Amino acid sequence: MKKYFLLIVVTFLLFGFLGAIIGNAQNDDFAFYAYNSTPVTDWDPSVEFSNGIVSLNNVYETLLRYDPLEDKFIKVLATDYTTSSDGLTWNFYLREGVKFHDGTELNADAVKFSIDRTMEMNMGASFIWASVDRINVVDDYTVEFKLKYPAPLDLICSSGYAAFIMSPTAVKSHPDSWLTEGHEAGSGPYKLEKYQQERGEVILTWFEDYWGGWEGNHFKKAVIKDVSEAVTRRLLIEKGEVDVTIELPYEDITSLQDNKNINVLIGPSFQNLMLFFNTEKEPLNNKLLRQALSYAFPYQDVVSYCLEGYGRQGRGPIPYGLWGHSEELFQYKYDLNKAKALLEKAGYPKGDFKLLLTYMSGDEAERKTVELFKAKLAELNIDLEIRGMPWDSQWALARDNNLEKRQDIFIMYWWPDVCDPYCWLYSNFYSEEKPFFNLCYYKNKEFDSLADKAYKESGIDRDKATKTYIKAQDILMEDAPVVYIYDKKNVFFLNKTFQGFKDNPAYPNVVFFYDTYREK
Amino acid sequence: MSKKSIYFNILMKRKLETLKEYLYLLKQNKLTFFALIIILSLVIIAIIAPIIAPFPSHIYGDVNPQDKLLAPSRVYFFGTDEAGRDLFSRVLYGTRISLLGSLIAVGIGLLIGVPLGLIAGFYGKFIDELIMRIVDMFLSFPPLLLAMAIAAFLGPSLQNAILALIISWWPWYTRLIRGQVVSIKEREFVRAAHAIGTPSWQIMFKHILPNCISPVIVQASMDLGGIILTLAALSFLGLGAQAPTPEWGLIVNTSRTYFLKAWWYGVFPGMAIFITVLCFNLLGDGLREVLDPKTKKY
Amino acid sequence: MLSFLVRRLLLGILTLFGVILITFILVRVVPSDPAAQWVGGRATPEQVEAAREELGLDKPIYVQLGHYIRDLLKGNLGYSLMTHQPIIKELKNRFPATLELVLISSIVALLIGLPLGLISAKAKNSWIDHFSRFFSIGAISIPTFWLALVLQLIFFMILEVLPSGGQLSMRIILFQDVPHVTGFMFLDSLITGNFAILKDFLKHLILPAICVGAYTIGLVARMTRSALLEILSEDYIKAARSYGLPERLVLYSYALKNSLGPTITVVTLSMGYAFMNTFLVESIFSWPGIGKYVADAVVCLDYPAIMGVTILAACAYVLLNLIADIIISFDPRVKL
Repeated sequence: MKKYFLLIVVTFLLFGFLGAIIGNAQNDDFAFYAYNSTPVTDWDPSVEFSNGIVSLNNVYETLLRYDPLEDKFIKVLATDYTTSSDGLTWNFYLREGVKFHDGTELNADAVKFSIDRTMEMNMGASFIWASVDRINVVDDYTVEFKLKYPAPLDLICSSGYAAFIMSPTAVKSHPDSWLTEGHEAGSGPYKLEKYQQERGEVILTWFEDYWGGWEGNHFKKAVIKDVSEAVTRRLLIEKGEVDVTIELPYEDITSLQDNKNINVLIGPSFQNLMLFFNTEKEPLNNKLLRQALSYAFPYQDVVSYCLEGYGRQGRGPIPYGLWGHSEELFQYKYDLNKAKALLEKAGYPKGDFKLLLTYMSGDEAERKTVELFKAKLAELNIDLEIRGMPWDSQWALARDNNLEKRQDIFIMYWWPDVCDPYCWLYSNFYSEEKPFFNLCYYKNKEFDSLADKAYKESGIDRDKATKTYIKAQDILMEDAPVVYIYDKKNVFFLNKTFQGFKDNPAYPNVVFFYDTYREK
Repeated sequence: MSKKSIYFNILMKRKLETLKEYLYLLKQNKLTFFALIIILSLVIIAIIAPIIAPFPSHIYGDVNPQDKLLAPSRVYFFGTDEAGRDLFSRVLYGTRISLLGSLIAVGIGLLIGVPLGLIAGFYGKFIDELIMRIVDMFLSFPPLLLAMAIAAFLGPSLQNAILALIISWWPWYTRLIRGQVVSIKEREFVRAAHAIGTPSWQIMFKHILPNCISPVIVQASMDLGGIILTLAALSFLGLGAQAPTPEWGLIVNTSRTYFLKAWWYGVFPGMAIFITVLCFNLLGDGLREVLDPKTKKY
Repeated sequence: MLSFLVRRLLLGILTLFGVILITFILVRVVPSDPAAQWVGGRATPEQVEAAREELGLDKPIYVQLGHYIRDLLKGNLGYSLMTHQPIIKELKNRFPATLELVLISSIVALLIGLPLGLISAKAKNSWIDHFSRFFSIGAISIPTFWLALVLQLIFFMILEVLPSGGQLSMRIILFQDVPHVTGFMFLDSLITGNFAILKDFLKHLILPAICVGAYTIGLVARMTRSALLEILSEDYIKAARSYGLPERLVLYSYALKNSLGPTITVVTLSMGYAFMNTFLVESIFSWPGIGKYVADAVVCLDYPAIMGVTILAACAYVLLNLIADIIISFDPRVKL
């Protein structure tokens, strides 16, 4: 008897399940971005230095926004700006009638408060303001920046990190942790409606009093969701359940391009992958050997097989498309004979030594790349051990106090915080007492002074600065502390009804929802 | 012939008879026998893998990017992965890794756990309390979680994963044996051995141990399968074997990204895990039937 | 009785302390730098040092241990390195989802597994027995993550009848008021009578539940079968049969009831294993529960989070064991 009862319950449940099956509903009324990681790590705009920019850039705004493809500035919260001839004083004129989400108005005090706060907290990317000495409020809508030395302040103000303007009233009237806990005080077109951390969902809703107005076709709601599985992201975009997604395997792109419901948008990104040689340890302290390995790297194979062509071989540390990049710069090409000749000159005619390379475990692109390199080096009788480690362990190893323990080769990506060659040249090549991100441990005074000179020049005369930057890069190519593997291309997968999106490599992976709309 | 050697012969013959009896019973249960055959073939495969693999260089370092992600064919029986490596060769070699890994883990786990359990059960009182408290501490952790935590903290690698599994598994054997020892300890033949002055370790290993070994054998044979599964799960999370090691769980993990384009990539190693674990479990189940007197008669 | 309870309680506390010690040591063995992780990918050296001070990592180990235990007693499990949020809060948010998943799949698994084991024991060595043995052993042998991927492929990609993951679909979350009475979606939607949400929830629940429950079904079936076989070979069963009692009575009133003891052990064991399976299943199906949280924490090496969950789990385990021991001690046959 009891058994039959159980059977009935089970059957009932089963039918209940089956009866609950209906078709998938169509997307409507909201924009859905399937992001490949968590959409925010810290809601505090002065602190966030990670993926969170995809969310924060819709909720907060900066003074200017930079379009690197057309090399021009978009006026967001500032309508104009001037520079003094010595580059030490900048004046920004603010837009009038801009409201924050809490109802207060944007004025010079708010700008001063926001940037001062970021500088004082000294977290995240706040170092971009290092050149700023003082910020003065000239009048309600004019802000004056006084710099310690000339710097490209317009680029700094447009940074996707640490340059957000927030409402002083909102921030001051709440305890310190209020922002981090999941609240915002922005002026952007969207408000944060809900942040479900356990579901990885950021739900944005429109800010009615946004200064840009809501005429025309705009999304009233937008969702950014963490979908870490590439397979799931692909299924979602194919089924039309999401509007935009990124980071799908390159092998899938061709079949997705054939899909009539999907637009595949390919554009440059400023992310590049580099191989850092340990220039302080044998055998890579030998310049000729480094040059030999630079010739032994299978650049084309990597781009063809790892990226399926969605990238280009790096030419110097500055990615293609960014000012400061030069197509005239010397570039190593894969040439095993040249490599052999240089190996001999370097004193290793038979090869016959071991190297340890670490890469970030879990990163498929890095893994595939280093596996190809390993195979090529094997042809030169060089034994390359490739070790996947979590980022922190890898980085800790590279900064180990015991120089002998450090790895020989370190592979990592770099991308800009400010759209500025200095971001690369300073972080990755400037002499450091204790290594930080200069993981080739390169110490060259001549290079350092050239880089500094160029940075100061860029605040006044961009062209002059570019020339100096190129001179600095020439030194790098000769000394070969780093192999510039590839500049990545950005690939966005969009639902065909999702229009208005334009990729801006200065804001990696950010979708500015305000500009997008649904086309029926 | 000396008395000792006559005695020895009789003993051997008797042991052989019992073995034959066990084998016969095992054969009765067709499923278990079938599982045993498969396991033996897997062991053979594991040993000769590099020899029979059609593309032995693909097992570890070599890459073959032109042939990436090809469907199963006559050249590549299981297809290729994203670096163009032959999956058949890699899965074959993976047998060696999985079987060896679980053998080591279970073996060392037994080597640690069984003696500790014997000692705890035999001597009782303080030592028993001490050992069992430590065992309880380890058993308080949900099994996979402890292995995950250890593997995460020590750094993801195959060796560390196996180490983590050894640390997580030995307490089970200790508890199992100790329970048995406590009940056998009071039996007459043990008391008799005590009375005639047999040294303690002899009592433990020659008298008590053989009588309580059967549940451990059953558990161990099933654990061989369970550990393969856990090892694969750890590699799946990125905590076990690292690329380019052809460990089954790792291959399934890497296959996730290409699942839609290359179904074969994840299916074959997954099947390998499934069949191996299934056979070990069937074997263990069958052994339990054979060795446990209570379930024999019905 | 009282002395027994007191002893068990003290032992439990001692075990807990050992657990905390072990976990704490594990974290110190870590080859990387929690302070660097706290501040994120591209911090400056000063920021890392400041974080080190803030997290108290510059103090000697015994001081750190002391602080940690003091925090634990206050209920503070520390802050996650990834999200900078208090871990206890994050766990509280996620716990209901996992509990619901495990409970519902365990109940269904029991409903399927118990009868299966029963039939198998009754008809020993028949083809039914072989089939169900094969099925149940298969169920515990299948790699859960593989099963999840295959199911996702079949039901989402090919047949398009079930969603790829999550607990509710996005439209429902955005445009409907999701009820929050007990925290359990199943109960909440029933209580508020919102059947659309209930349907949506069930649709999302099926695949994860199957994956979590598969192992349980196999386990329950096998254990029931072996427990019943043991009992059925007992003398009193033989006696009952020889009296001419109907088989149904023998099975249910005598055998099943007496097998309840091992069955309860089986049930608790199966829940434990089900929790274990949630790590993988929740990751693949993006189920917002503790399993996914732990899996993510492990992959990102978020040590405080891992430690927090481990300690919480161990506490729960010790507590459950204590309760189980107390219940069993009521059985007069058990010697204290």
